Amino acid sequence: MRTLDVAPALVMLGLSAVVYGGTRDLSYWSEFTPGPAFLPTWVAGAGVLISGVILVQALRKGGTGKPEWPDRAGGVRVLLTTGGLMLCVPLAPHLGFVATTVVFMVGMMLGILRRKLVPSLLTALTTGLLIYTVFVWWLKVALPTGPLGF
Amino acid sequence: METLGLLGHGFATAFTPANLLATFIGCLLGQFIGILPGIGPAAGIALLLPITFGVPAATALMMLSGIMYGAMYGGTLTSVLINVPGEAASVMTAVDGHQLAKQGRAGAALSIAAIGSFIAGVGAVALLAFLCPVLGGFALKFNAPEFFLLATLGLTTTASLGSGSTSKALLMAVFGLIVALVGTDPMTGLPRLTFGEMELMDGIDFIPVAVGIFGIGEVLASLEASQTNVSFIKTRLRDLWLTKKDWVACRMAILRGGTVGFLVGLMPGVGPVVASMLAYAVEHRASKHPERFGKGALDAVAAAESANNSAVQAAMIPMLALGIPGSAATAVLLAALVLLGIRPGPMLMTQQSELVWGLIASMFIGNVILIIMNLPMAPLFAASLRIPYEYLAPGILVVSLVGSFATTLSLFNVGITIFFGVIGYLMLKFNLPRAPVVLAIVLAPLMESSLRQSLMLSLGSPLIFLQRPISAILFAMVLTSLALPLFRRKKVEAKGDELDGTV
Repeated sequence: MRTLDVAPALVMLGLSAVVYGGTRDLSYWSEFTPGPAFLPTWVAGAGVLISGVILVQALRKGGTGKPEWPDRAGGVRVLLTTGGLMLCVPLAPHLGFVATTVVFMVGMMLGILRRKLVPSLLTALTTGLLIYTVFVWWLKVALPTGPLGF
Repeated sequence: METLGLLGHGFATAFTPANLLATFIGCLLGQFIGILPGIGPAAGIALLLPITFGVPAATALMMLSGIMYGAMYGGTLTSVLINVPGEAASVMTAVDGHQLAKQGRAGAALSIAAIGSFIAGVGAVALLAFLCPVLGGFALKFNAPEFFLLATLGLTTTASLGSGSTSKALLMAVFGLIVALVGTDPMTGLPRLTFGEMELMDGIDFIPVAVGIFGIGEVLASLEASQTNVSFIKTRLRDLWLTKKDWVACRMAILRGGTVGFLVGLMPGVGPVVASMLAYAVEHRASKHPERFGKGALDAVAAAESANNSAVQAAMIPMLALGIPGSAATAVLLAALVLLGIRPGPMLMTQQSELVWGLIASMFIGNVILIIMNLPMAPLFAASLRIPYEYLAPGILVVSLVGSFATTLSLFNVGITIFFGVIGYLMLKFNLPRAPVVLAIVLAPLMESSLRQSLMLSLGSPLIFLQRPISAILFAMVLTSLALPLFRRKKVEAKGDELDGTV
């Protein structure tokens, strides 16, 4: 079974079903104009059709076709980095956006990528300063601030 | 003659200190983005878009487009020196470029790449200057049916002419359309696919999706393998000098590569990656000594680099004249135009003449800036390759988050960026093309509005798409672009059967 082809097709089949179901309450056609459900219906239909074609092709071709997943260490790096990014969202309003990014960078370089302490701290602080200078000081973007004021 | 006059005014706009500085900054940033693996021009433009807020639209566009073609020059350095294409369009450059570097000819490879890019780039911009008004004038005859079919053609050609599986590319285009449908129906104002979430009422912004898919997704994929210290080949200033033999060997390669790149770049959705591959193949066929290809052929490098820069400039033509992006990077540029309050489309050339011609003039200037940067300063840029990627990756990630927040001041958008970053990573794992997603998101509003307007005009009859000659031709082109991969597959299968028969 060609996982490379089958998995995306199945996901899109599901997504197309969600789109169709999610717009069923809207009107497809009103008098002489297409309604809000018109394009979603056709897009969902196209999604089902193309997913079906891919599934049929995958079943006919056979053989193996799996994604090249990383090794354990690589997988851990990817997962931890993603987790760290997600943590930034709830932390930013409390710690401050710039402070959160600095903390994230230090955590990533020391904990995940296992870099040396001094260069990691320097890199994180320099990047934080750059972000503050460009976005807060120059562009006046209202980034969330924390107890340290940034 | 009118075009030359308009171009003259464009130069007057581009030569102001602020615009010159913007073009220079764009080219410099583009050069670095091209050097850095893990981030391409589409993500680079999306990430740096917030720093253009508050500057005039023309200045912003000059900087952002400088990033786009600057990345083509920058991608050469890593391809030649460490055999790692900094940019997808430099993959073919790495094939022969790194072999040349191993033979002690890194300087020649970098030099011919820069010169080829310059000549082809300037040629492409010159053609752009003359073609844009013609195409724009023609597009003024377009109505809603033509716009719908043109937008559809943009998606179908991306799928059929791009590299990789056609059906997967179409599937990703559908995914992009689904993302674009979330929000509020543009005609009735009713919420659509928001599932009660207030934050989704304004829809899913393009920038977080682009930054997530191209920026964060790419960095996550790069983190899979620990980056070992790469040994790269040093290059000195005197090594950049080309011999007369090199010139003679490469001049036709530059011409052929530039031409192929221009024609490919014109086609919506195809882009510089396919252009460089096609140019390499054409040069291989045209070469008197094709056995050298893959072992360090200077003309191979010249062809690939000329093509990718030419294609990137040519991709601006459908964007400026028709409002249809020619590549992922121009899709982000188009989104930038909208964010800057400018409506893209055929009227752009008449309504925003100063902006368009200033942009075109800045592309001439940008290519000059880049050849100056790349020839004598190549060793300096090469030094930046010494920075371990592990120190750059976290910075790219946090700038992605800040950039996404800056566009709408919403942490929800930051969450969207991370979500699409994971999606982008998974797309890379499952070999799903990413360009169709962003193209579909950019084209979806035009597609929906023109489709509904067309059906309103025709009182529901789909025959409106066949009634006018232009729309009928576009309809035929859409069908042809969908049928093309089938014909290609049949041809390949027939060839396979023939070989089986002869063995």
